[in-house]
Amino acid sequence: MLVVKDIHKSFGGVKALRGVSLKVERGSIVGLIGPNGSGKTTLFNVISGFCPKDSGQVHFKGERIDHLPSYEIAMRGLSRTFQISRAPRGMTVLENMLLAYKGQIGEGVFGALFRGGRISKQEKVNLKKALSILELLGLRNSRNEYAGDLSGGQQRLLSLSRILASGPELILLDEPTAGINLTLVTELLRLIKHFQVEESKTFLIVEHNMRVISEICDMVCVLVSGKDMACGEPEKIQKDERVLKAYLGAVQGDSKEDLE
Amino acid sequence: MGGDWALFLAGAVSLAGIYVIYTLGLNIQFGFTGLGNLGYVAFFAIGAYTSVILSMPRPGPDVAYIVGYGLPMWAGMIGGSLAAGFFALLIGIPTLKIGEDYFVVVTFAFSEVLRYVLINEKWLTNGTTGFYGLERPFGEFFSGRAYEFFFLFLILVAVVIAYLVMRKICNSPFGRLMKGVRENEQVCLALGKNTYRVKMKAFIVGAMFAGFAGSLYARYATLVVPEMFIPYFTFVAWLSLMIGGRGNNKGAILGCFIFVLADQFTLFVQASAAYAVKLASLRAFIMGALLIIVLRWLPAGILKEKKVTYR
Amino acid sequence: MLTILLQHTVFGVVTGSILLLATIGFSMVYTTKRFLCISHGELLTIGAYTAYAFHVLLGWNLLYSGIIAVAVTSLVGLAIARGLYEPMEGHGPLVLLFTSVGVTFCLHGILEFIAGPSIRSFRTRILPCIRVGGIPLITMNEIVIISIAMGSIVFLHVVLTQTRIGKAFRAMASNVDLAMARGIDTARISMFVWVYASAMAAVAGILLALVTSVNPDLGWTQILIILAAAILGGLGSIYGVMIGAIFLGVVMDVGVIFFPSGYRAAIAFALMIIVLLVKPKGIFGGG
Repeated sequence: MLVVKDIHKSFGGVKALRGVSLKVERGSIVGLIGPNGSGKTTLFNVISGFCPKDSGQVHFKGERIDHLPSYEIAMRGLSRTFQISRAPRGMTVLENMLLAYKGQIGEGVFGALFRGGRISKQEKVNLKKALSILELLGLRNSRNEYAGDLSGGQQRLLSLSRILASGPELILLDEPTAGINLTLVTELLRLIKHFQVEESKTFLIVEHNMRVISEICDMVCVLVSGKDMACGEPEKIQKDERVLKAYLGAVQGDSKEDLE
Repeated sequence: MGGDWALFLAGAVSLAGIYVIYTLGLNIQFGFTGLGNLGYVAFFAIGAYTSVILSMPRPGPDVAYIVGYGLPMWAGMIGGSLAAGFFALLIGIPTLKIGEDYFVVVTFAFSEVLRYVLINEKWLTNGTTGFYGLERPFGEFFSGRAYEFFFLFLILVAVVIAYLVMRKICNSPFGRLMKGVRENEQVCLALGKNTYRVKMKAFIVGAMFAGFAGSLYARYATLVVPEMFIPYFTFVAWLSLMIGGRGNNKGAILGCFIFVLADQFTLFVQASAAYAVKLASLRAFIMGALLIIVLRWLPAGILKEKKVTYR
Repeated sequence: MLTILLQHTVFGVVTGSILLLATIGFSMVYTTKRFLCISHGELLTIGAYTAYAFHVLLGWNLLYSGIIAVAVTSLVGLAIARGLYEPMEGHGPLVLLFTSVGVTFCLHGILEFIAGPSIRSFRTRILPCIRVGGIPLITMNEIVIISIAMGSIVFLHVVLTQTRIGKAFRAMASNVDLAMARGIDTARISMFVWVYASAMAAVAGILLALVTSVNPDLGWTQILIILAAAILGGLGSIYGVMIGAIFLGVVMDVGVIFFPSGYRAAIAFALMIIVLLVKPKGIFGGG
């Protein structure tokens, strides 16, 4: 479904990505791991159109997308979350959710002014859909709270809900479990699995948490210093000598996070 | 003395009404969408001048300007609004893509460049003399005092219409989208929204409000001169928004009234020419102090943005 | 034609020199505090009026009046910064920008209230022109102004490269957090920046008043051109600003040969808009 071919990207003098290639099959959950600074977030930014590449290609559903602006890519069904997300302080949870739906007539000025009837119909439908997703993620009770007032973990869930509401086919998750407690992690993993199985969504997840990798990933790719080093099933990768060396050799702090 | 008060109030409230429409436009641009337009007065000016130029009679041979198309007044007003929107489109194309800081500066520079053009291009604007002795809408049917109240009525009708339009826009999914762009543009992009288009639409609609207000202002003052469109008037709108509450339309109204009544009151109170200047500097001081106080202790303004809730 | 061009170029260098003095401080404040401090313009006016008060009203020597003016303006600038801007730093650049606008209105109001709107002038003697090839090219006054500007450039360059404070400033300019982590006393550097910026503004204001006149709008009309010069040179690049200021001065004063003189300031803005659209980091790159 997603084919990344030989992506190069430099910032100033620093080469962040040095010919990265990877494939994500439809309906699978692929993990992307690698030491800090190996270029994982940069790769995400390039794939989702938030950062222009120097060379290489990105194909999504058979179509080349690497020259498209970010919102176009999102419209085609490829969405992403952000590692550090400033929760909209002035909008409630529900407003955030309703924002996500595509094809809203009311989102243009003429629509807003003259198509009031059809808009309220659409709003009712979207509201129902939003409430069911919120229910699933346990956020229904906070639906009228300002997004900024939620706890860190809840905000994470909200960004996931929001992305899911927009109906994407491939979702890039950037460290979804960073900084949330164990029970919530379990919940999150259950949800991702649920969406993969029930709604055939595809996921590409950047993670440091090895538990996520071993529990739900079908495939794992390892990124080291801007180059893809290995790709395969989690058990194989976790035993791969080169991977262990690259990981443990790079940053000690990583192993601490895995134990957490 | 009692009669003077009523007349004064009618004039002050009319002015406040015009400023309300003017400020509501900025509320769309800044309050809802977060665009820091520091050259807002430019659209006010474009609206005013365009509406006058369109409805002026053909010029004779002995004046400096060559424009004047004799259209009816209402056509002029619509034209003023459209012209302002059109300029917003022109300016928006290059500037909405550069960073926030720079947008602020470029819009400011634009409004000053426009003012210089208004001063220097006599063939278009009659320079610093401007256009004066303008007719007032339906001026033939009323006389003197009675007309002031009729004019007030017209303005209030316009304000109500503007407010209703604002409400429709802001409560719609488009309003939500504007807020989304303001709060976190990246997230909106990741959701597939063309944020540039959103900003452009908000920019144009806001400008049209300013243009419409400008054409009303020209009829209120019965003249247009470049001096009426100095940066001070951009800050009038900003200040009203910041004091009254940005993102909140009722707040914009409240801010305008506080501002205009305080401002006009000092004009009314001045005893002699000697005091006029002192009072003008006092007004500047008070405006500045008010702005600082509001920013420091009431950064969201008096009325908070309305929370949108569902059952 | 060549005569006019030369003379206007000289005017331009003079204008640019004064602009340089005013813009350096503005740019340094942006570099360290990350906001466009619009009230900087009023510091020029304060400097000019203070010097005027001592020199013309009290009859003191121009040089001493100037020194006092610089001292007073530096204190005012520092006080405002400490009292109003620094406590609000968390609120972001747009809020700080508007706060500085509020300060501008306040200062303008106070000044106009005390001094009145009338236009005054320093009664300075017109020194003889220096002629080159028979053409009156430049006066002694103007040479002094340009020298002061050049002197300040040298002074700043020495400070930035040789002294601890200067080096610390450059560290802060490129990355504030890193500088703090390295143990640099950012508070003291900030103080230095505010004082220096205000002092230079005062000098610029006095020189400007000497060349034009003493009026309440002195600083307000300059701030936009200061903004243009800062952006032209590249916000954050001190040396870029220096070149940008001189360049802008020359362009403005040569430009009025071809455009109506009323457009002089508009030339500055138009140039600024063009630069922002084509190369937002300024002609000389970002800091």
